[in-house]
Amino acid sequence: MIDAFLALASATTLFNVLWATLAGIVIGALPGLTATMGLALMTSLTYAMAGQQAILVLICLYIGSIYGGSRSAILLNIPGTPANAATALDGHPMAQAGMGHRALGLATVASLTGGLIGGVALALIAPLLAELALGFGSTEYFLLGIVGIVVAGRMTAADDPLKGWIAGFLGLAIATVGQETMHAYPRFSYGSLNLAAGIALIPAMVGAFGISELLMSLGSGKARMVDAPMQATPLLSNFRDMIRRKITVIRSSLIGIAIGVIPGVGEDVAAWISYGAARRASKTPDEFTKGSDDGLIAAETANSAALPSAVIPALTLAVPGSAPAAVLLAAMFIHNVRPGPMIMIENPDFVAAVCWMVIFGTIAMAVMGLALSRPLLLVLKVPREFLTPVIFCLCLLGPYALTQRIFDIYVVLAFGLLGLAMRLMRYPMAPLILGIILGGMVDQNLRRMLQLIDRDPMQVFTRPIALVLVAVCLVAIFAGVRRRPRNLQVKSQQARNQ
Amino acid sequence: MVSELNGRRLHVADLATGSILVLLGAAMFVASIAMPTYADRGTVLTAPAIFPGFIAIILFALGALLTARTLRQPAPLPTGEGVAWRPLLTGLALMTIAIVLVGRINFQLLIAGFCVAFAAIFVSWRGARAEIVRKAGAMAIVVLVVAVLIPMTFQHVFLIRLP
Repeated sequence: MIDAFLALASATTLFNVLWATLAGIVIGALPGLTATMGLALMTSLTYAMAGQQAILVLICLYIGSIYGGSRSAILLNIPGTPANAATALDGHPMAQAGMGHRALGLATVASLTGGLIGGVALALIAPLLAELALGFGSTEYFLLGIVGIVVAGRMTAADDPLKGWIAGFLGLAIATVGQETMHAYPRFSYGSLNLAAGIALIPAMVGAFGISELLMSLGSGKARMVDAPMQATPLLSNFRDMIRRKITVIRSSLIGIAIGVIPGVGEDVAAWISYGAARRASKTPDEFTKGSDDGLIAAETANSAALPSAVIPALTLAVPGSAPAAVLLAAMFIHNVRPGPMIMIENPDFVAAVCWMVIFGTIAMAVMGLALSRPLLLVLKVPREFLTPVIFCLCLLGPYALTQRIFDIYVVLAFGLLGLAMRLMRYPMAPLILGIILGGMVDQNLRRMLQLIDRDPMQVFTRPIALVLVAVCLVAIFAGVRRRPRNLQVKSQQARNQ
Repeated sequence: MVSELNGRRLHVADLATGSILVLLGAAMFVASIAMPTYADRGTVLTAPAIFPGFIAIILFALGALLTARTLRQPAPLPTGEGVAWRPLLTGLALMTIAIVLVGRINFQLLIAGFCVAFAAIFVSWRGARAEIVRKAGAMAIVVLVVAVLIPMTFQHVFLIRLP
């Protein structure tokens, strides 16, 4: 860890940490620009950078944007990213009551705590998971992919898991397009060389998250910032409030870490689950949605703790824990880093460097969030009509820059349309992207597994990890069949519509 | 904000999606059967059709489930706001035209044209003269950024040939 720190400690690193985190905060604060979209666009801009610095920029941007989303959630009642939807429930009522400054301070301190605890978890869990993954065979990898899709579908579409599963398996279906790796047979390409090359992840993500997001935000009118005067709150009082709620902080961090590790689920689900758990554990549950400190701390701590945790499976299994982590995974491949179980053997310094990157980014986020509190409010005043053409231009040039194929721009449009239709019909986007990423892995390992077990399915049940994965899959399906009430999500939707 | 579909419209959309998935699953399965098995290379268990065939069956089943569930349940009453179709479809049409024209005309000209068209439609040009001048000035900066600054950065800093 110390070697990794010394290798990373330089003026270039400091410069990159500062600008990337600030860019992330701005991207996150602007409603309509999500962390995934920001990362997908930034990936193409870091193409020419050295590998480690490029990943550093992307991680800092990721941290900044998840935190930045809390600003618009608190002051505009519009979550800047889906991860901040639960933050708006208590943050906005606090701002309306003239405690906007305190809400922003609490969100910053909660994000700092969650991020640092998540960073430590990354350093501790990643080597253990990588070691466990060394024992994985084709059966385990195939089942891991399927479990990822089933669990992500269940958790990202809590009110209708069927739609989550449809999105995930649609992603796997899209991944079948192009030349397969065992016999080089071009599946579903109909003589087109472009289709034979397959659907690239970055154009698909820019379309699904970028273009569809731009379209969804059209006609939303001008968001109104709270006009209640903000009373300044001393920074130390925010830390005191956090210490007073240490149980909420610990619980939310653990929930964030546990949810972050699950493939494809991500920060938004972590924030909702943590918020629900805090309300259930609270002695004053009636205060929730009316400006509760516990509610705000629970949501922000969990989404920030889930972020480093979502990087753990991406590094050690090449399976992303969230949609932005999926872009990070793609960026690692672009920059010649080979994530997977062998990473602790082939490139152990990189894992340690990623832990430091998370810690640097989290500290920079807190420092800038507190120091630039007032100037950052100006970002929320930028009209969306002026931003849309800029983002659209980046959505076209970003994916094109990676391969210089016009076909990828058409992929952006096609996925923009698909993403729009899915959003309108209430399908989650994360399982779709997870499906596209995991498609190759699931495909190869399914066929290898079939060869190995040679028509004897009982062999699967002789492997303990495979048995656990089958059990998790069955539990997720069973839990999905029994629907969960969506009171919190409905409440959030109502809050956003107000 | 453009809201999600709800009520009867969502009900109809679910029914249509379920049917499309059933058809997609069936078509994918048929296409998988037509793929070569490469049995001459030792085993059929590594055939390229196995994975798409497996996914096709699951998509078919999920589509059938969605269709059956939608048919069984009555259409719910609409809740909240409906979809703001006008700005959504206008924006979609503008973006589609721009993307179709990429590679056919000069990129910088195309993106400048997109900005002007977007501003003409989506920016409110009503109000006091000073307000309009301020908005026009802001839009001119946006045009400068997207049509000159961003493409030049890609072209000269990242050494990317523009489409």
